[in-house]
Amino acid sequence: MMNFIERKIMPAAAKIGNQRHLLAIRDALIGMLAITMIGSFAVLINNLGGAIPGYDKLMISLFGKTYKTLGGDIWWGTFAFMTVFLVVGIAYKLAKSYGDDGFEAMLVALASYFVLVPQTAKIEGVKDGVWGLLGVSYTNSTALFTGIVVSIIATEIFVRLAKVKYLVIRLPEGVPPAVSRSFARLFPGMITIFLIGLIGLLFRHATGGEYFNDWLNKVLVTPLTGAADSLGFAVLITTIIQFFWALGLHGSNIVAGITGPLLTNLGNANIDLFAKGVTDLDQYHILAGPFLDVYVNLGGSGATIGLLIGLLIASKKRKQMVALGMPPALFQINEPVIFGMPIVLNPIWIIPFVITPAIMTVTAYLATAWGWVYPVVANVPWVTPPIIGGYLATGGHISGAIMAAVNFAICIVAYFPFVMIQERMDQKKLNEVLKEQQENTVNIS
Amino acid sequence: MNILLCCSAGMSTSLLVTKMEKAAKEKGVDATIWAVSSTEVHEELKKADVLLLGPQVRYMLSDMEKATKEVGIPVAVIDSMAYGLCKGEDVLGQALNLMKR
Repeated sequence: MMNFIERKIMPAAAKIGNQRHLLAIRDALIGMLAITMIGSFAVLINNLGGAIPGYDKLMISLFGKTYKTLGGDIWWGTFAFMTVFLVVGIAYKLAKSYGDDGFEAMLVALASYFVLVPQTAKIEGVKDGVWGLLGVSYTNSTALFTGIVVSIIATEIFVRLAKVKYLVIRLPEGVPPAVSRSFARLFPGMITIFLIGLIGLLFRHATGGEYFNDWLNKVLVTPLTGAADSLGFAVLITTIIQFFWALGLHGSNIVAGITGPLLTNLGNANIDLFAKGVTDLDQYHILAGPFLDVYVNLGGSGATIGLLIGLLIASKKRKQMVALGMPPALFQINEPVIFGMPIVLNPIWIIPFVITPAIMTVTAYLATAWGWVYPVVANVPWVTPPIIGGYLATGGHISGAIMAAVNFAICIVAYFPFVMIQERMDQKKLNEVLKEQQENTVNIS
Repeated sequence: MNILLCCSAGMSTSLLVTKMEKAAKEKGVDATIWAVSSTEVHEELKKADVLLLGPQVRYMLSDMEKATKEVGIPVAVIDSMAYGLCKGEDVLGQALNLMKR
C-alpha cells in the first residue's frame, strides 16, 4: 500500500502540484487576495440592505443618500478589472519560474492581452459602435480564461526569445545596468507583442471577424463553467481533495490550479450580479467562490471539527488531541488532526473523512439550488470560523449561517459512530493487555 | 542556525514553529526558525541552513532536493506524527540531526 502510494500517486501529485502553469495561476490568484477581498467587502457593505431590514435607512442617515458611491468605486477598481490583474500576475510568476525576473514579461503580457481586445464598443442606437471605448467584459472576470491563456502564451514566447543570444543587444560596459537590461529585453518583447497581434489578426480572418475573447467564451468558458457549476463536479472535486488528504497530501493545494480559476470565475460572476442588485436567484451560480470553505470544510478539509466534537463527547484517551486540534480548527486549520490522530492511512478514520464532505456538498448544493439558502455572493478568507463564514459569504443572509450549522450537525453525526468504534477497539486492546499482564503475574507467582 | 519550515500556506506549520522555538530555548540551542508557504520557499532557501517540509507537501521533495543541492543545505520531510502532535522537540532534533550529516 505505502509502496504503491510512493510509486504511483506521489509522482502524479507532484506533477499536478508542481506544474509550472497551474502554479503560476494559483500564485497569481493568491497574490490578488487583497484586491478580491476589498472588492468583495465593498459589494457586501453596499448590499446588506437586501438581507437586513432597516440597514439602508441606517446607512443613509449616517452617510447620506450617496453612501454606496465609495463601495461602487472600489468594486469598479477591483472586480471590473480582474482579468488585468490576473494577466500581470500570471506573467510575473510564470516568468519567475523560468528564472527570469518577471518585470518585462509582466508588461509585455499585458500589452499582448490588450492587442487582442476590440477597440470599438457596440452601443445601442449607434451604427458600427464607437471607437475608443473598452467593454468591461474584456477586463472583468468574464475574460478571466482568455487572460490566463494569453498571459501564458505571451510569457512562454517571451522567456524563450529572451534566451536566444542573437536577439539580445549587449551594450558596452559603463552603461547603467537598468538601461542595458531593458535593452536586452527589447527584441524579445517586441517580437512577442508582434506575434500575438499577428495571431489575433489571423484569428479574426479565419473566424470572420470574431475576437479571441468572444470566441473562447463561446466554445470553452460557457460550457466549462456550466459543467463546473453542477452537483456532480462539486462532489467530484471534494472527493478528489479528500482522497489526496487521506494519503497525507495537501489536496486542495494540489488541485488549486484547476479549481481556483473555475470557482473564482463563478464566484466573481455572483459578486457582480450582487453588486448590480439582481434579485432573481436563478441567475446566480451555486458552486461559487468560497462555497466549499463555508459549507463543507468546516474546521478544515474533511469537516474534522465533527470528529473533534465526537472525541470531546465520547473519548477518554484522546482529550489531548482535542486540546491541540480545536483552537486551529476554529479557523479551519486541521493539520494537527490529520497527522496527529492520524487520519492519514487509518482504515477507520478515512471512511468518514472522505464520505462526510461529499454528503455536506450535496446538502449545501441542493439547498442553494432549491432557493432555501441564498447563493454565495461574497468572498471570505478560508480561515473564517464555521457558520460565521456561511453568514458573511451569503451577503449577510441568515440562511447561509443556518446551512453551515446544519452541515456542522451532519459532520458531528457522521463522525460519531466511528469515534465509538475506535473507542471500543481501544478498550478491547486494553483489556487484552491487562489480561496478558495478569496471566504473566500468575505464571511468575 | 537557521531552520526553514515549509507547508502549503505557512499557517499550520507556524504552530510548530512556536513549539520548536520553545524546545530550542530549553535545550540552549541558538536557532532562528520560521515557516513559509510553498510558493515563497525558493526565495527563502538562501537564508536557511536546513529545510524541513510539512508532510502534506511531501510531493515537493524531489523538486526541493534539486533546489537545496544548489545552495548546499539538507532537506527532509517532517515525521508526520511529530508534525500532527506538534512535538517541537522531536522536529528540532530531526533538524539538528540533518545538519550533522
